[in-house]
Parts: sequence; structure tokens; C-alpha cells
Amino acid sequence: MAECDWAIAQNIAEDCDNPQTRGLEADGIIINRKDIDFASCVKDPTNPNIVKTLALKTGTKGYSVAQSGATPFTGTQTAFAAGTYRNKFNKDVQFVVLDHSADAAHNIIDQLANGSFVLVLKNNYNGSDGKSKYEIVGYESGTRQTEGTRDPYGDADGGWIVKLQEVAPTSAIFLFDTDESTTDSAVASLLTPAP
Amino acid sequence: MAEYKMLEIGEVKERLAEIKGRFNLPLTGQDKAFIDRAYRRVFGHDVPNKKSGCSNCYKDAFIVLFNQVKTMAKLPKPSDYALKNGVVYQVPFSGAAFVGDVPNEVAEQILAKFPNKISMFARYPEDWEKRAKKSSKKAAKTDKTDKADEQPEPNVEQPTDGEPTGGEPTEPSESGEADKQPKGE
Repeated sequence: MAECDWAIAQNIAEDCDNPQTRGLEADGIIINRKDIDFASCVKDPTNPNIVKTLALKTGTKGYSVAQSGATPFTGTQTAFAAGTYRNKFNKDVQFVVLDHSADAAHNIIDQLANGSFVLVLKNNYNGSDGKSKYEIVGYESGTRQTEGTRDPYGDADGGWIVKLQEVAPTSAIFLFDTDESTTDSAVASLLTPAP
Repeated sequence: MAEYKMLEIGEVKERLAEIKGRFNLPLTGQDKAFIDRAYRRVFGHDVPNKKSGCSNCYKDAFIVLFNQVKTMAKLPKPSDYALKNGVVYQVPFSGAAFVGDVPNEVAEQILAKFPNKISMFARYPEDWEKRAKKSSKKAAKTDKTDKADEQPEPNVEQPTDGEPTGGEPTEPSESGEADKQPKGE
């Protein structure tokens, strides 16, 4: 097995024409990790941090995560995590479930508590070529719930604030295929009822 | 539990009516995904101009779709082939890209050349291999017929006197014979 060669390969600079911007869009997608057809997923051969095809198993679909407010998915962050033999990244995704109902409890909250999930989030910053628009969290080892709170008098108005975390070897995995329009179509198809 | 069902006319009409009720508001991502799916099912092709990033193409498509669907008692039969969710197939050397349903002839052409791509399909007929081979033979026959009709360009330099001295024969007699030859498996 080859030794890993850790070496920077790009200048650290700002793109003045397309400066980095903060934030996430209010619509994301959550997928049960067991519904990902990894055998059919394709990575970009030139960059292992890009997934070109995120395929779902036959008969499965993703579910939308719609957030409200000026800073959707507040609490979402990625942080370096020192490891014993290899350092990693803790990727946290936080969102609110503004629905405290029997259906939500059964179909969402109870499932989030013990399942493994993959999320597709949309960055406000798309990059000059659209490659930075969609980010996948949970592709490498799945996200699992680490926090969950429901306060009847809290900011979520009685709903849930949930945090999922993935401990991953990479800082970010992006979803991009060919161009922004093609990728938009692929992402939209994750939500359609299975063909 | 994951849903697994084809679009039905009732569902399409209901959803379109719901979108119509808030038509003055921007369409959501889910609205667009539904319009994509329903439009492809009804008309057999993608929403026009959506790749060019037009601001109104989905609303225009909605109007066309709504007006068409209200006259229909049932939806056209779907394609026998559909890609898995998340998969986009781009036709090489063309701007066309497919998600979801893929027209039968397009799917069979893909599978004739790349049978391993069957793993990208969520729905396909049991006899897809046979149909793909048939499509391949039909394409080969069409290709030979087209070549017989073409004037082949000379593949040698023109001599200074202007008369060609080489090149392929202009009367390929293989096309008829090729049809009669048994095809090896």
C-alpha cells in the first residue's frame, strides 16, 4: 500500500472576481445512507473531493429539509479534529424541525435519533464554475445525531433543533457533474418519487 | 417508507391545480422537479430552454402543461426505462441530458454500446439485452444505408490537375450483402 503524500498543490489566495461568501441556502436534502447506491456513485477522476454521480437505489428517494430564517442551518460547521493516527474533520449539520406532531415524531425525529444519513446542502458561494454549490455531508461515513432538543418555549417554538455529525477524512465533498445546470437536474431528481 | 409509483393523471392534475393557486409566487425547487417530471411524461422531452437559465421557462412550461393535462383522461404510457434518482445521463456530443425517464430508443442505444450502464437504471424491461442488440443492429443498418448515400470525400490530396487518383469506391455494394450475412453472436 502506498504512503500518503500530504503536500499543498495550490496557491492560497482570494478570487477577487468571485469572492467567498457566507451561508447556506434554505433548502437541503437528507437521504437515508442505506439508500445510496455506492456501487453506482462516480467520483471525479481528477479530484476525489468531487462526486459526479450520487445515485440512489431503486425505489428510494431523498427528502427535503426546508429551513426558515435569515441564517438557515445555523450551527452547521466543519472543524479539524486531531486523531491518534490520522487527523479528521468533524462535520456538523444543524437544522430545525418546526413540526411537533405524531407523524413528525414517528417519521423524522425517532428515525434521526438512530439512523445514518447523507445530506446535500447548497452553499451560497457557488465558485466561479458552480463546483462549490452543492456539498455532501455524510458521504464517507454517514452522519449520526449527536444533539437534539425540544423546548416548548425555545426559539424553535416547540419544534426540534437537531444536530448530525460526520467524522470524515476529507474537509468537504462536493457534488458536481459537467456544469451547474446538469448538477441542478441531478439534485432535483434526488427528490422525485422513485421512477 | 420510500414512495415507488408512477405518475397518475389525477395526481398530476391535483398538483398542477395547487401550484396554479400560488402562481404569482416563485416556484419552489420541488415544484420545478415535479414540472420536470410531468412535462417529460406528457411531452416526452425536457422543459424547453431550462438549461439556458431562463427565468420564466418553468412558469411557461407549467402553463403549457396545465393546458394540455386538463384535456387528458390519462397520461401517455411511460418509457420502459428510467434512470435511478441522482443519475444524469448526458448524450455525448449533444446538449441533451436525461434524468428519470429515458425514451426507449435512447436507452437501448446507450445499453447497446455500454451494457454495464444497466446499473444506472432503476426501471428496465426484462428483455433489455435483446432489445439493445436489436437497436444496435438497426443502427448499424441505418449507418450503412447512410454511408451508401453519401459522396465520400477523397482521403488523398488532390493532384494539381484536379483529378482524384484514389479514395474509397463510391458504390459500396456491401450494404445489401451485409443485411443478408448472418450476424455472429
